[in-house]
Amino acid sequence: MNLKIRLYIIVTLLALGLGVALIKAGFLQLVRGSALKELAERQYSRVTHYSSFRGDIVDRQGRLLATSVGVHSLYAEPRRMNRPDQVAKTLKHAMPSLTNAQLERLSSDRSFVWLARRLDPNISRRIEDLKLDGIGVSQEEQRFYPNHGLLGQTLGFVTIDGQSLGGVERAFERYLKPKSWSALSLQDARNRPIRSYLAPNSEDLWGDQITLTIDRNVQFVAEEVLAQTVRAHGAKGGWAIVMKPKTGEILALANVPLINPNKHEKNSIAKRNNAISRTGEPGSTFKMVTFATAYDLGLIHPEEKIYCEKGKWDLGYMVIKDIIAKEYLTPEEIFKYSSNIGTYKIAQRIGKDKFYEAIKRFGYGELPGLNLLEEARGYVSKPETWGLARFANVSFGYGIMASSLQMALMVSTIANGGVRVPPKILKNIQRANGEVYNPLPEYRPVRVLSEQAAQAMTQIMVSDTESGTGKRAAIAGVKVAGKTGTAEKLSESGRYAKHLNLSSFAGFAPADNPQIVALVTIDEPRGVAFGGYVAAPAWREIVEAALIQEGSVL
Amino acid sequence: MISRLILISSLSLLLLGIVIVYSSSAIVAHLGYHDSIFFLKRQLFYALVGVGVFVGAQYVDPAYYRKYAYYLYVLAIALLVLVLVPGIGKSAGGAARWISLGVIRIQAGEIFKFALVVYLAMSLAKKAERMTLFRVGIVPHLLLPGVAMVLLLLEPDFGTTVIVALVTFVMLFIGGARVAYLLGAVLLAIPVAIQVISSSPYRMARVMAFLDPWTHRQDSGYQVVQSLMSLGSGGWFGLGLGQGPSKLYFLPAAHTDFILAVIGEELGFVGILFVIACFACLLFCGFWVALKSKDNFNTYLASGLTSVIAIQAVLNTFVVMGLVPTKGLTLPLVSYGGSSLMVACLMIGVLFRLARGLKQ
Repeated sequence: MNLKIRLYIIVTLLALGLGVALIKAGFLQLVRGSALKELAERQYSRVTHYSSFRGDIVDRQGRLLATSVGVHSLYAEPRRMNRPDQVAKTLKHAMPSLTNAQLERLSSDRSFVWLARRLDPNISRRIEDLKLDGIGVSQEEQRFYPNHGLLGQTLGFVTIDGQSLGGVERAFERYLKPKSWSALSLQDARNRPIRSYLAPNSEDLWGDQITLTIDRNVQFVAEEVLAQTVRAHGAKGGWAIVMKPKTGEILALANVPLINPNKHEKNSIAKRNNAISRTGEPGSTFKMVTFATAYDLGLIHPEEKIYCEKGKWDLGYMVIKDIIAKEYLTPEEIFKYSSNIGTYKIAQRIGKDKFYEAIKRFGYGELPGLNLLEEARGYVSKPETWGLARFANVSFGYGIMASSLQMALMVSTIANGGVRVPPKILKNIQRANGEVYNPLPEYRPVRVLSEQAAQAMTQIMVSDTESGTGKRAAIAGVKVAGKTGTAEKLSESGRYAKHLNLSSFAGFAPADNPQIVALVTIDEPRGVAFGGYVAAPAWREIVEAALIQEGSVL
Repeated sequence: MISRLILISSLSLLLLGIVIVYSSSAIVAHLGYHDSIFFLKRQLFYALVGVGVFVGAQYVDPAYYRKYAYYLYVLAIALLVLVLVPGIGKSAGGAARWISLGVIRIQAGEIFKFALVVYLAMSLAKKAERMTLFRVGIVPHLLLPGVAMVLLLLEPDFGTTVIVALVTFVMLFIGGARVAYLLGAVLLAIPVAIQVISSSPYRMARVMAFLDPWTHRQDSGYQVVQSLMSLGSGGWFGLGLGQGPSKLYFLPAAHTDFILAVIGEELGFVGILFVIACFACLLFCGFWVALKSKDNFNTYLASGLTSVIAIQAVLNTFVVMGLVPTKGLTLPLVSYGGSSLMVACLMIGVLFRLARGLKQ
């Protein structure tokens, strides 16, 4: 073997070595590249969670009803701590309110523990300045309701862990709550951040703003008046609905006693939004359906006199009594004096089936359409199942279940010339970038009554407030149409109890150009319980305020 | 032509090295020394000195190396001994490899590699036909480097030991030693190598990590796995200069022994291809010089110097790609490091001088 060949052999071997390296590089980079890259990225990247905030809830004028603020919470990473006892000592010094139980969490084997949540910002800053290893302060969202109890039941609330419970908070959660942002960031092997990808813009961290149709001022007056009325009559509670008949917009949805969503842990019983969720027998207010249907079908004549059995009518299968006993009454008088006997006689002219259809057309037994989860459907049984007594009972408001909202909707339909415009509480939603949208389907108005029938109804409702049971609802200078209601509640024994009443007043104003529909219910007033006595004055005060705010009449 | 290729490819590697040293060390330097160009400055300085050495080598007739080969060799061995003397030798990472001369620290192993090649070239040329004899061809040429290898292992510098062993065999083979004797020596070396490896826990761990890096990725296999991931991240064209995250404490020795991984990560397969092409070019040019040299000493010197660079390049790429266990070797001309760079420049300088000599 001469020198030349030996040189060739060596150069070939070394070149082979370089070739092998190149092939291996190709394999690693071009064949296994993406898999290796993924592994590499896994160790460089950390997911950072950004605290995001629910959108505000505002009233129709943009006045704040609910908002979110950032609060500081103190956490510890016990596994990263070398001397938990020393850390505990330093912490205790900086924040004396820390209990021993809280400090003991430092010695646990957990990787993450909350020490204290929702700190005073001064304290959190002091602790941050200590720069303790394994102790950190993070920002959390706290929901804040600046008007305290105002609209409490309707707004709902949000727990410390960001869970929405009830009301607008829950129903419109998906618009209010922003996408939870966790962005990928690059970190070095010593866990120092290098750069982040997909870091959210500040507007991404805010949920959409919900504008309600509620008017904060009307809401406030409604709650005040209700509270006074409830107090004056020693009642259990009360609720009121104020809405605009033409658009179906709810201006106020008041429930007394109030709850304060800022302190939602308490008041668990009062959380119910009675105005929309409670169903019960509607009582005489429901006579509007009977009258309106009879007018619509041309079954009553204003001049006619109907025999009212001198206040007591024994039908064999039941006895119907009137509070005001008369021999003959015009339809208007029947309505005004709230005669059960007269009302049933009118209902008999309509017949079960047509009457049932009319009830359904008014929206009873269906969700009114606010899209709140608490809304009640109520219940109307099928006419085939009605016995003779049931038909009589339904005609004057017993034997069916309805919510106050459904009754307000009925009044609104009459005020609206017989057209049912579904109620709504969501005005619109605004994204953080300013874009406005409304995700709810637009309901089409439904004609329930002829214009003439609605007119006739308005007339008898006006006479009710001018000379009937609803006189106390009259507003000086404004024609008011309304109907009182005094429904007996079923006691716990399952019987109607004379002393357990729901006193209500439902109506609209001005009668000739309806701007405001309202319904006020007072739950179990003591003493005189007539709706005209208990609820009508409250109704007047609320509607006056609403007209000033929205109707531009007074 | 050949000399120009040598110049172009080695300059390319040198310049690429400076860029990548900066890319891979800037952040670590900033955090460690509050000076992001801490390593860049030094590498630039070494490169300048290296160029000086290269230029200086042009004025030295290769015959002088032959003449002073013994002295050079003895000096190099002496340095290897000095490294082991406490107070003079400086250690880094558990190994004493440097001799401190005030501000300048010299890695004795690097100088020895040059001295070894010169000595072997001289000796092989002198022995010539008698190389086939065991007594003449094998014994002295294994004994003298053997002493150095023992000294190197004492530092310990396993990487350089392997280079020395391989270069010795390559040069003996080229010099005409009988293949049977060489094979016999290899067979004898195997138990010694096994003993050397198994006696040291960290070498054992490296072997285990080499055999199955992914199961040991948290400890002994960490570096290799990081290296593989860095390379893999590069794909065809890399993440872009400076864009690779591996140097952020993930990949140990990113600017020294594993600089090729950073090249692969930031410049991709194309970058690796470029580096390997440059070394291949040096390899072929070096052996071309060896082949064309009329003088046997020049042939052995050229092929020996080229072999040192090529073997070290191959081993370094193999380590980075997980083909052989980790052993602490720089990539010649590219990796950060003064002694390594200057000795590489010296070797290239001598090679260039020999190439230029061919024309005359």
